[in-house]
Amino acid sequence: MIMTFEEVEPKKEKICQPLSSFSLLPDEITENILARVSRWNYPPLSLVSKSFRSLLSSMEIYKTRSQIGTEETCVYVCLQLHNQPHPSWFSVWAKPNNQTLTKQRGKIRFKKDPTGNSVVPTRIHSPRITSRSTVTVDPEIYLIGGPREEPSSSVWILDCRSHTWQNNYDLVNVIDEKFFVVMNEREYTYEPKYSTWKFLREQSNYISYCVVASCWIKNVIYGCTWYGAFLWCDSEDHEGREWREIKGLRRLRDDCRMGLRSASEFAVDDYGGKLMVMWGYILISNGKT
Amino acid sequence: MSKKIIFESSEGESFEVDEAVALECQTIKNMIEDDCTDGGIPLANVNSATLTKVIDYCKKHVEAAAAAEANAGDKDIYGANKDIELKTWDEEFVKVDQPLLFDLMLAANFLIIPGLLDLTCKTMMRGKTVLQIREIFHIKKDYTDAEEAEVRKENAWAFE
Repeated sequence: MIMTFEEVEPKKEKICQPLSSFSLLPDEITENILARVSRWNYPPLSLVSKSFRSLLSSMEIYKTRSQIGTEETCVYVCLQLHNQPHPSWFSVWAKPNNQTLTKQRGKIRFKKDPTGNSVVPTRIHSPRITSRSTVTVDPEIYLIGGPREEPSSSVWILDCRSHTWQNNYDLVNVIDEKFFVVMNEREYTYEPKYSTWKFLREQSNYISYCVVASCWIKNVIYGCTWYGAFLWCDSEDHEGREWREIKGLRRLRDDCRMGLRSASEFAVDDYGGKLMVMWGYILISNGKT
Repeated sequence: MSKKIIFESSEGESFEVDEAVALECQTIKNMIEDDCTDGGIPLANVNSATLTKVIDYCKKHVEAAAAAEANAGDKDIYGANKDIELKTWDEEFVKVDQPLLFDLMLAANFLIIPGLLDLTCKTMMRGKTVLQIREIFHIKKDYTDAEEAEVRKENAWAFE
Protein backbone atom coordinates (compact mmCIF):
# COMPACT_ATOMS: atom_id res chain seq x y z
CA MET A 1 0.00 0.00 0.00
CA ILE A 2 1.25 3.43 -0.81
CA MET A 3 0.44 5.94 1.83
CA THR A 4 0.77 9.54 0.89
CA PHE A 5 1.07 12.41 3.30
CA GLU A 6 -2.33 13.66 2.27
CA GLU A 7 -3.83 10.47 3.58
CA VAL A 8 -1.83 10.58 6.77
CA GLU A 9 -2.47 14.19 7.62
CA PRO A 10 -5.07 15.81 5.42
CA LYS A 11 -4.71 19.27 6.97
CA LYS A 12 -1.12 19.53 5.73
CA GLU A 13 -2.55 19.98 2.23
CA LYS A 14 -2.91 23.63 3.05
CA ILE A 15 0.84 23.97 2.79
CA CYS A 16 0.80 22.80 -0.82
CA GLN A 17 0.12 26.31 -2.03
CA PRO A 18 3.14 28.58 -2.10
CA LEU A 19 3.21 30.54 1.09
CA SER A 20 4.48 34.01 1.41
CA SER A 21 2.83 35.13 4.59
CA PHE A 22 3.17 34.28 8.22
CA SER A 23 -0.50 35.02 8.68
CA LEU A 24 -1.28 31.97 6.54
CA LEU A 25 0.84 29.78 8.76
CA PRO A 26 -0.87 27.73 11.40
CA ASP A 27 -0.14 29.11 14.87
CA GLU A 28 1.66 25.91 15.84
CA ILE A 29 4.31 26.49 13.16
CA THR A 30 4.71 30.17 14.04
CA GLU A 31 5.11 29.16 17.66
CA ASN A 32 7.65 26.52 16.68
CA ILE A 33 9.66 29.21 14.90
CA LEU A 34 9.46 31.80 17.65
CA ALA A 35 10.38 29.27 20.34
CA ARG A 36 13.73 28.83 18.60
CA VAL A 37 14.63 32.49 18.77
CA SER A 38 16.42 33.92 21.80
CA ARG A 39 14.05 35.29 24.39
CA TRP A 40 15.92 38.58 24.26
CA ASN A 41 14.50 39.16 20.79
CA TYR A 42 10.95 38.90 22.09
CA PRO A 43 10.44 42.60 22.87
CA PRO A 44 11.12 43.78 19.29
CA LEU A 45 9.30 40.75 17.84
CA SER A 46 6.18 41.54 19.82
CA LEU A 47 5.94 44.79 17.85
CA VAL A 48 5.38 42.89 14.61
CA SER A 49 1.70 42.20 15.17
CA LYS A 50 -0.89 41.52 17.84
CA SER A 51 -0.86 37.79 17.15
CA PHE A 52 2.93 37.74 17.55
CA ARG A 53 2.63 39.53 20.83
CA SER A 54 0.00 37.23 22.25
CA LEU A 55 2.01 34.19 21.13
CA LEU A 56 5.21 35.53 22.68
CA SER A 57 3.60 36.31 26.00
CA SER A 58 1.76 33.00 26.26
CA MET A 59 2.82 30.21 28.57
CA GLU A 60 2.54 27.82 25.62
CA ILE A 61 5.69 29.16 24.02
CA TYR A 62 7.67 28.41 27.18
CA LYS A 63 6.29 24.88 27.19
CA THR A 64 7.51 24.50 23.60
CA ARG A 65 10.91 25.95 24.51
CA SER A 66 11.22 23.43 27.28
CA GLN A 67 10.21 20.56 24.97
CA ILE A 68 12.71 21.44 22.27
CA GLY A 69 15.45 22.38 24.71
CA THR A 70 15.81 26.08 23.93
CA GLU A 71 15.56 27.26 27.51
CA GLU A 72 17.87 30.11 28.44
CA THR A 73 19.37 31.02 31.78
CA CYS A 74 18.56 34.51 32.97
CA VAL A 75 19.94 36.13 36.05
CA TYR A 76 17.68 38.49 37.92
CA VAL A 77 19.14 41.06 40.23
CA CYS A 78 17.28 43.00 42.86
CA LEU A 79 19.01 46.28 43.63
CA GLN A 80 18.28 48.87 46.27
CA LEU A 81 19.37 52.05 44.52
CA HIS A 82 20.06 55.18 46.50
CA ASN A 83 17.67 57.31 44.48
CA GLN A 84 14.78 54.83 44.53
CA PRO A 85 12.39 54.25 47.42
CA HIS A 86 11.94 50.54 46.68
CA PRO A 87 14.19 47.78 45.40
CA SER A 88 14.22 47.49 41.60
CA TRP A 89 14.57 44.29 39.60
CA PHE A 90 16.94 43.98 36.67
CA SER A 91 17.88 41.14 34.41
CA VAL A 92 21.36 40.43 33.23
CA TRP A 93 21.33 40.13 29.51
CA ALA A 94 24.06 38.44 27.51
CA LYS A 95 23.37 40.11 24.20
CA PRO A 96 24.11 37.67 21.40
CA ASN A 97 25.55 40.19 18.96
CA ASN A 98 27.70 41.94 21.54
CA GLN A 99 26.06 45.35 21.20
CA THR A 100 25.55 46.82 24.59
CA LEU A 101 23.30 49.36 26.14
CA THR A 102 24.82 52.72 26.66
CA LYS A 103 21.84 54.83 27.59
CA GLN A 104 19.68 54.56 30.67
CA ARG A 105 16.95 56.84 31.82
CA GLY A 106 17.46 59.04 34.85
CA LYS A 107 20.66 58.87 36.76
CA ILE A 108 21.05 55.11 36.73
CA ARG A 109 23.87 54.15 34.44
CA PHE A 110 25.40 50.78 33.87
CA LYS A 111 28.66 50.55 32.10
CA LYS A 112 28.90 48.07 29.32
CA ASP A 113 31.32 45.32 29.99
CA PRO A 114 33.62 43.57 27.51
CA THR A 115 31.75 40.26 27.69
CA GLY A 116 28.64 41.83 26.20
CA ASN A 117 26.54 41.45 29.32
CA SER A 118 24.15 44.25 30.15
CA VAL A 119 22.00 44.92 33.14
CA VAL A 120 18.57 45.95 31.94
CA PRO A 121 15.65 47.24 33.98
CA THR A 122 12.49 45.12 34.19
CA ARG A 123 9.01 46.25 35.09
CA ILE A 124 9.00 44.00 38.12
CA HIS A 125 8.04 45.84 41.29
CA SER A 126 9.47 44.44 44.45
CA PRO A 127 7.08 43.59 47.25
CA ARG A 128 7.61 45.51 50.46
CA ILE A 129 8.99 43.10 52.97
CA THR A 130 11.78 43.81 55.35
CA SER A 131 13.64 40.60 55.76
CA ARG A 132 14.05 38.33 52.77
CA SER A 133 15.82 35.48 51.15
CA THR A 134 15.41 33.90 47.74
CA VAL A 135 15.20 30.37 46.47
CA THR A 136 15.10 29.54 42.78
CA VAL A 137 12.71 26.84 41.67
CA ASP A 138 12.89 27.06 37.86
CA PRO A 139 11.26 28.91 36.26
CA GLU A 140 10.28 30.82 39.38
CA ILE A 141 12.01 32.76 42.11
CA TYR A 142 10.61 32.40 45.61
CA LEU A 143 11.03 35.43 47.76
CA ILE A 144 10.72 34.33 51.32
CA GLY A 145 10.37 36.92 53.96
CA GLY A 146 8.46 38.14 56.90
CA PRO A 147 8.03 40.95 59.33
CA ARG A 148 10.57 39.43 61.69
CA GLU A 149 14.10 38.29 60.99
CA GLU A 150 13.10 34.70 60.45
CA PRO A 151 11.53 33.05 57.44
CA SER A 152 7.73 32.88 57.53
CA SER A 153 5.42 30.58 55.65
CA SER A 154 4.26 33.33 53.32
CA VAL A 155 6.07 33.59 50.04
CA TRP A 156 6.12 35.78 46.98
CA ILE A 157 6.63 33.94 43.74
CA LEU A 158 8.10 35.69 40.73
CA ASP A 159 7.32 33.98 37.46
CA CYS A 160 10.37 34.68 35.30
CA ARG A 161 8.40 34.06 32.11
CA SER A 162 5.62 36.56 32.64
CA HIS A 163 7.46 38.81 35.14
CA THR A 164 4.50 38.74 37.49
CA TRP A 165 4.25 38.09 41.20
CA GLN A 166 1.92 35.82 43.02
CA ASN A 167 1.69 36.30 46.72
CA ASN A 168 0.06 35.13 49.93
CA TYR A 169 0.73 31.60 49.03
CA ASP A 170 1.21 29.27 51.86
CA LEU A 171 4.45 27.44 51.23
CA VAL A 172 2.84 24.16 52.06
CA ASN A 173 0.73 24.47 48.91
CA VAL A 174 3.62 24.92 46.54
CA ILE A 175 6.49 22.95 47.97
CA ASP A 176 6.50 19.24 48.49
CA GLU A 177 10.13 18.84 49.34
CA LYS A 178 12.56 20.25 51.86
CA PHE A 179 14.48 23.32 51.02
CA PHE A 180 16.93 25.66 52.62
CA VAL A 181 17.20 29.39 52.98
CA VAL A 182 19.84 31.55 54.56
CA MET A 183 18.58 34.54 56.46
CA ASN A 184 20.60 36.81 58.67
CA GLU A 185 23.51 34.41 58.48
CA ARG A 186 21.42 31.57 59.82
CA GLU A 187 20.37 28.54 57.83
CA TYR A 188 16.81 27.30 57.96
CA THR A 189 15.16 24.29 56.43
CA TYR A 190 11.51 24.10 55.47
CA GLU A 191 9.65 20.98 56.53
CA PRO A 192 6.59 20.62 54.33
CA LYS A 193 5.18 17.86 56.52
CA TYR A 194 4.81 20.22 59.45
CA SER A 195 4.72 23.41 57.36
CA THR A 196 7.29 25.01 59.59
CA TRP A 197 10.80 26.34 59.39
CA LYS A 198 13.47 24.65 61.43
CA PHE A 199 16.64 26.44 62.46
CA LEU A 200 19.57 24.41 61.20
CA ARG A 201 22.82 26.15 62.03
CA GLU A 202 24.71 29.40 62.07
CA GLN A 203 26.07 30.02 58.61
CA SER A 204 29.50 30.83 60.00
CA ASN A 205 29.84 27.18 60.98
CA TYR A 206 30.49 26.20 57.45
CA ILE A 207 31.63 29.34 55.74
CA SER A 208 34.71 31.13 56.87
CA TYR A 209 33.96 34.35 58.74
CA CYS A 210 35.65 36.57 56.17
CA VAL A 211 33.57 35.20 53.28
CA VAL A 212 30.71 37.61 52.69
CA ALA A 213 29.15 36.00 49.64
CA SER A 214 29.20 32.45 48.37
CA CYS A 215 27.53 30.11 45.94
CA TRP A 216 27.68 26.47 44.90
CA ILE A 217 28.55 25.46 41.37
CA LYS A 218 28.52 21.71 41.00
CA ASN A 219 30.73 20.42 43.82
CA VAL A 220 32.62 23.60 44.48
CA ILE A 221 31.75 26.44 46.82
CA TYR A 222 33.02 29.80 45.64
CA GLY A 223 33.34 32.60 48.12
CA CYS A 224 34.18 36.25 48.06
CA THR A 225 35.77 37.90 51.07
CA TRP A 226 35.01 41.37 52.43
CA TYR A 227 38.35 42.53 51.08
CA GLY A 228 37.57 41.37 47.53
CA ALA A 229 39.50 38.12 47.23
CA PHE A 230 37.98 34.99 45.71
CA LEU A 231 38.23 31.60 47.35
CA TRP A 232 37.04 28.13 46.53
CA CYS A 233 36.65 24.90 48.42
CA ASP A 234 35.37 21.39 47.88
CA SER A 235 31.76 21.15 49.05
CA GLU A 236 32.08 17.41 49.64
CA ASP A 237 34.79 17.95 52.17
CA HIS A 238 32.72 18.43 55.31
CA GLU A 239 35.53 18.04 57.81
CA GLY A 240 38.23 20.66 57.93
CA ARG A 241 37.01 22.59 54.94
CA GLU A 242 39.92 24.40 53.41
CA TRP A 243 39.56 27.56 51.36
CA ARG A 244 42.01 28.18 48.56
CA GLU A 245 42.48 31.43 46.73
CA ILE A 246 41.57 31.77 43.06
CA LYS A 247 44.69 33.14 41.48
CA GLY A 248 45.11 35.66 38.67
CA LEU A 249 42.54 38.19 39.80
CA ARG A 250 44.85 40.77 41.31
CA ARG A 251 44.22 43.39 38.64
CA LEU A 252 40.48 43.08 39.11
CA ARG A 253 40.89 43.50 42.84
CA ASP A 254 43.32 46.38 42.79
CA ASP A 255 41.85 48.48 39.99
CA CYS A 256 41.67 51.99 41.39
CA ARG A 257 38.30 52.85 39.83
CA MET A 258 36.23 49.68 39.84
CA GLY A 259 38.38 47.35 41.90
CA LEU A 260 36.88 44.75 44.18
CA ARG A 261 39.04 45.97 47.02
CA SER A 262 37.09 49.22 47.35
CA ALA A 263 33.63 47.59 47.14
CA SER A 264 31.44 47.26 50.19
CA GLU A 265 28.87 44.69 49.11
CA PHE A 266 29.32 41.54 47.06
CA ALA A 267 27.14 38.91 45.48
CA VAL A 268 28.21 35.82 43.59
CA ASP A 269 26.04 33.36 41.72
CA ASP A 270 26.04 30.51 39.26
CA TYR A 271 25.49 31.96 35.79
CA GLY A 272 25.07 28.90 33.62
CA GLY A 273 28.11 27.23 35.14
CA LYS A 274 30.18 30.41 35.24
CA LEU A 275 30.85 32.36 38.39
CA MET A 276 29.10 35.69 38.19
CA VAL A 277 30.30 38.40 40.52
CA MET A 278 28.58 41.68 41.23
CA TRP A 279 29.71 44.32 43.60
CA GLY A 280 27.81 47.26 45.01
CA TYR A 281 24.61 47.00 47.08
CA ILE A 282 22.81 43.94 45.91
CA LEU A 283 20.62 40.96 46.53
CA ILE A 284 20.78 38.37 43.82
CA SER A 285 18.92 35.39 42.49
CA ASN A 286 18.60 33.56 39.21
CA GLY A 287 15.98 31.66 37.32
CA LYS A 288 15.70 29.68 34.15
CA THR A 289 13.10 30.33 31.45
CA MET B 1 24.31 -2.10 -0.98
CA SER B 2 22.14 -0.01 1.27
CA LYS B 3 18.42 0.27 0.77
CA LYS B 4 17.20 3.20 -1.33
CA ILE B 5 14.21 5.40 -0.70
CA ILE B 6 12.54 7.37 -3.47
CA PHE B 7 11.08 10.82 -2.82
CA GLU B 8 8.79 12.49 -5.28
CA SER B 9 8.66 16.28 -5.30
CA SER B 10 5.53 18.36 -5.87
CA GLU B 11 6.52 18.62 -9.55
CA GLY B 12 6.61 14.83 -9.79
CA GLU B 13 10.39 14.59 -10.01
CA SER B 14 11.96 11.50 -8.37
CA PHE B 15 14.91 11.64 -5.96
CA GLU B 16 16.66 8.46 -4.89
CA VAL B 17 18.44 8.57 -1.54
CA ASP B 18 20.07 6.11 0.83
CA GLU B 19 17.80 4.94 3.61
CA ALA B 20 20.27 6.36 6.16
CA VAL B 21 19.78 9.83 4.64
CA ALA B 22 16.00 9.52 4.64
CA LEU B 23 16.10 8.45 8.29
CA GLU B 24 17.23 11.97 9.20
CA CYS B 25 13.58 12.94 8.70
CA GLN B 26 11.51 11.77 11.65
CA THR B 27 8.36 11.67 9.53
CA ILE B 28 10.03 9.38 6.97
CA LYS B 29 11.57 7.29 9.74
CA ASN B 30 8.09 6.58 11.06
CA MET B 31 6.93 5.59 7.57
CA ILE B 32 9.92 3.29 7.08
CA GLU B 33 9.21 1.64 10.40
CA ASP B 34 5.58 1.19 9.35
CA ASP B 35 6.83 -0.25 6.07
CA CYS B 36 4.87 2.09 3.84
CA THR B 37 7.60 3.48 1.62
CA ASP B 38 7.38 1.03 -1.29
CA GLY B 39 6.81 2.70 -4.62
CA GLY B 40 8.21 6.03 -3.43
CA ILE B 41 7.09 8.78 -1.10
CA PRO B 42 5.17 11.60 -2.74
CA LEU B 43 5.89 14.94 -1.07
CA ALA B 44 3.10 17.07 -2.47
CA ASN B 45 4.14 20.12 -0.47
CA VAL B 46 7.89 20.14 -1.13
CA ASN B 47 9.12 21.39 -4.51
CA SER B 48 12.20 20.07 -6.32
CA ALA B 49 14.48 22.98 -5.43
CA THR B 50 13.66 22.67 -1.74
CA LEU B 51 13.88 18.89 -1.76
CA THR B 52 17.35 19.02 -3.38
CA LYS B 53 18.54 21.27 -0.55
CA VAL B 54 16.89 19.13 2.14
CA ILE B 55 18.59 16.01 0.78
CA ASP B 56 21.94 17.87 0.68
CA TYR B 57 21.50 18.80 4.32
CA CYS B 58 20.58 15.28 5.43
CA LYS B 59 23.47 13.75 3.43
CA LYS B 60 26.00 16.12 4.96
CA HIS B 61 24.78 15.46 8.48
CA VAL B 62 24.77 11.67 8.01
CA GLU B 63 28.35 11.87 6.69
CA ALA B 64 29.42 14.13 9.54
CA ALA B 65 27.89 11.81 12.13
CA ALA B 66 29.62 8.79 10.54
CA ALA B 67 32.95 10.63 10.45
CA ALA B 68 32.57 11.67 14.09
CA GLU B 69 31.85 8.08 15.07
CA ALA B 70 34.84 6.76 13.11
CA ASN B 71 37.15 9.27 14.74
CA ALA B 72 35.74 8.84 18.23
CA GLY B 73 38.43 6.32 19.10
CA ASP B 74 41.41 8.53 18.37
CA LYS B 75 40.60 12.01 19.55
CA ASP B 76 43.31 14.52 18.92
CA ILE B 77 43.66 18.03 20.23
CA TYR B 78 41.71 19.30 17.23
CA GLY B 79 38.71 17.16 18.17
CA ALA B 80 36.42 20.17 18.07
CA ASN B 81 37.31 21.01 14.47
CA LYS B 82 34.70 18.70 13.01
CA ASP B 83 31.96 20.59 14.79
CA ILE B 84 33.30 23.90 13.57
CA GLU B 85 33.49 22.57 10.03
CA LEU B 86 29.88 21.39 10.15
CA LYS B 87 28.76 24.70 11.63
CA THR B 88 30.52 26.59 8.85
CA TRP B 89 28.89 24.30 6.33
CA ASP B 90 25.48 24.98 7.90
CA GLU B 91 26.07 28.72 7.72
CA GLU B 92 26.91 28.50 4.03
CA PHE B 93 23.95 26.19 3.46
CA VAL B 94 21.39 28.79 4.59
CA LYS B 95 22.82 31.60 2.47
CA VAL B 96 19.83 31.43 0.15
CA ASP B 97 17.05 33.84 -0.77
CA GLN B 98 14.15 34.40 1.63
CA PRO B 99 11.49 32.37 -0.25
CA LEU B 100 13.75 29.29 -0.41
CA LEU B 101 14.69 29.72 3.25
CA PHE B 102 11.01 29.90 4.10
CA ASP B 103 10.26 26.75 2.08
CA LEU B 104 13.18 24.96 3.73
CA MET B 105 11.81 25.85 7.13
CA LEU B 106 8.36 24.51 6.24
CA ALA B 107 9.87 21.35 4.81
CA ALA B 108 11.96 20.86 7.98
CA ASN B 109 8.86 21.36 10.08
CA PHE B 110 6.83 18.96 7.97
CA LEU B 111 9.48 16.25 7.63
CA ILE B 112 10.58 16.82 11.25
CA ILE B 113 14.29 17.51 10.87
CA PRO B 114 15.06 19.30 14.17
CA GLY B 115 18.55 20.48 13.19
CA LEU B 116 17.37 22.03 9.93
CA LEU B 117 14.30 23.57 11.55
CA ASP B 118 16.48 25.15 14.19
CA LEU B 119 18.96 26.43 11.63
CA THR B 120 16.35 27.91 9.28
CA CYS B 121 14.28 29.52 12.04
CA LYS B 122 17.28 31.22 13.61
CA THR B 123 18.61 32.38 10.25
CA MET B 124 15.27 33.77 9.19
CA MET B 125 14.79 35.88 12.30
CA ARG B 126 18.40 36.93 12.82
CA GLY B 127 19.17 40.64 12.62
CA LYS B 128 15.79 41.60 11.20
CA THR B 129 14.05 44.80 12.17
CA VAL B 130 10.34 44.83 12.87
CA LEU B 131 9.69 46.49 9.51
CA GLN B 132 11.78 43.90 7.68
CA ILE B 133 9.91 41.06 9.34
CA ARG B 134 6.57 42.62 8.39
CA GLU B 135 7.79 43.17 4.85
CA ILE B 136 9.26 39.71 4.30
CA PHE B 137 6.26 37.92 5.69
CA HIS B 138 3.62 40.34 4.43
CA ILE B 139 2.24 41.02 7.87
CA LYS B 140 0.10 44.12 8.14
CA LYS B 141 0.66 46.33 11.16
CA ASP B 142 -2.44 45.90 13.28
CA TYR B 143 -1.40 48.13 16.16
CA THR B 144 -2.64 51.67 16.48
CA ASP B 145 0.13 54.17 17.17
CA ALA B 146 -0.97 54.36 20.80
CA GLU B 147 -0.91 50.58 21.19
CA GLU B 148 2.51 50.38 19.59
CA ALA B 149 3.82 53.05 21.93
CA GLU B 150 2.48 51.07 24.88
CA VAL B 151 4.29 47.90 23.76
CA ARG B 152 7.47 49.91 23.28
CA LYS B 153 7.12 51.38 26.74
CA GLU B 154 6.79 47.95 28.32
CA ASN B 155 10.27 47.04 27.18
CA ALA B 156 11.82 50.43 26.69
CA TRP B 157 15.35 49.09 27.19
CA ALA B 158 15.11 46.90 24.10
CA PHE B 159 14.48 49.85 21.80
CA GLU B 160 17.08 52.27 23.04
